[in-house]
Amino acid sequence: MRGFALALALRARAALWRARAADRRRFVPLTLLLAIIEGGFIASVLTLAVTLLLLGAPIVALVLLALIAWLVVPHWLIETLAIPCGWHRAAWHLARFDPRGDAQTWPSLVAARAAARAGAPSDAVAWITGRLPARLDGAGIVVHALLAHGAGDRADARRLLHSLTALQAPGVDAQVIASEWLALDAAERGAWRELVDGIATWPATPLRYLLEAVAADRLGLPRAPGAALRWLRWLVAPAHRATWRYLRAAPSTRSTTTATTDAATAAPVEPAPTDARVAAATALVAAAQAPSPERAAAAVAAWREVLDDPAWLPAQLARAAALGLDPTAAVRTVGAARDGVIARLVQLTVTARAPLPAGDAGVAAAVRAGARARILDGLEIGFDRLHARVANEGGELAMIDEWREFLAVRDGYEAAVTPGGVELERVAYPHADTALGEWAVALWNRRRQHHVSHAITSWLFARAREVGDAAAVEHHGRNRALTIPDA
Amino acid sequence: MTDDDPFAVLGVAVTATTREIEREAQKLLAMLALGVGDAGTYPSAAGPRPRTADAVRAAAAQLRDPRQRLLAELTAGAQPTPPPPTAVEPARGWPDALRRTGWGPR
Repeated sequence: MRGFALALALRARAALWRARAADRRRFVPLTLLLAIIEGGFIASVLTLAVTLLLLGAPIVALVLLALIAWLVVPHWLIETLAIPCGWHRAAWHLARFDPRGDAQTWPSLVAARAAARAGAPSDAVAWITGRLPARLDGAGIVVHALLAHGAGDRADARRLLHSLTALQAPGVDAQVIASEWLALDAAERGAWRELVDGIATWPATPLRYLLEAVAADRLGLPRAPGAALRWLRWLVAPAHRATWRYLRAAPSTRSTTTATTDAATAAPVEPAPTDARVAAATALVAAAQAPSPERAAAAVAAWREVLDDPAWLPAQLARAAALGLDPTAAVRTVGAARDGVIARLVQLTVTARAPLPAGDAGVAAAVRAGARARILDGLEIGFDRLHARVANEGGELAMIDEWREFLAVRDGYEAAVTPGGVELERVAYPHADTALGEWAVALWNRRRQHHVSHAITSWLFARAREVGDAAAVEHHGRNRALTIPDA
Repeated sequence: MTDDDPFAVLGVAVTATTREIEREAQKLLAMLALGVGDAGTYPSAAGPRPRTADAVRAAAAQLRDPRQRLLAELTAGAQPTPPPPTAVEPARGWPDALRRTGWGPR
């Protein structure tokens, strides 16, 4: 009877772990429930063992204890021995008995963590990736991300882990690992806002829960948990020694913020040049030296002041005459000067991804038209290249590289069309639709890569809705509704 | 832009006459040849830049041509601007947090 209760408690514990990871709204009550179950479990085990010993059945007691240890110990061994020592094979085998994770995905994820700890040696990478299913899914992406981190490519790891949000069903285990890694990465970079913004996206884990409290405190958010609650979260989180040091050494955020603000306020501000042409030349140099959307927009605005001034052309023609140019050469030279400035403004606007300037005439219209043409040309070249690769059967990449390419294409497209708004995207979207639509179909039909194909289709569907392309919405909506087959 | 600003290279005003430009170019070439004075650098919007005899000759030739001079006049005279603020996050983070909590390479 008691044995049956223990087995039931173990199953309930595993189910609660997964439920807690799947829904962050139930994180606190489920954590409390887990604590009660685990406490009761340990007490029951000890009572049972002592009872059996007292009844004179030491062998049965030991067998039972060994059986229970077999169910409890794997996770502890993984966390305290296999991962810290970088033993990927041991981690993989132990994880098969760890009730915290799915037996299909958990071993690979844990083995990748161990291999990353050891610096992702090539034999370990081959061993782990050789055990991944041929169809890339959320767990596969996380495994590659962890191995990329182990090999020193933190940016690739971050990008791959963030990309889980593009999948329809990345899997709880993959999300838990990604959630914790991204939270720690954000904390390391001091990107506290990013950490708080991730609350809506990522599942809570004990460590993320602690970091979210720290982030809310650092940002001075009104509903930030107090010191007592933070320490309570610390108590529940793993890696006590490491996090203790950070919490003890945490500087006062508010004073840092104030100091930064004061320093920014006190910084000497250069007086703006009074001459409009000099101000425009200065803005152009400033934007070229440190490109940013704000600086590029400021340069365009400054040159509008100069070149759109009705007095500018007559003054330049008069100056050309004074320099000895005949009227025809003067008109041509002044036009070339204006075109030269506009070409530089176009270059800056595209490079800095600045919003395309509004206006139907003059400098704004010329810069907008030039930037628009440059952006569309760039996208078209990229999509043509992708189309050619997909059409060529020998052009297939490893699946993780196909996924990386999708992320690059998606991010490049969104960054390119954002400055021009929906008007520009309406022109750009059909190119994306053709190239990526074919790609998604090839991945689904030819390579049976349903997760990746579905993610591409979902993205195309979202963009089609954005630009109001009814035919594409219907087409991708139909494909998006397809059920991803079981492995 | 300022790198190619021939007025800055020669250290003359945008309103300088051809005669003034020629005189300044000759003076600079002589100073550079003898290595005297502070002719080896000139101020620009991007900070002090090295001035070479070739750059001086190229700038003088550019300003001798009325067409090129008109183009140069349009974008000349840019002034230095302060670098943009780099601080993005309000507070520093937890250095080495991933490694210390058991993630990534030791």
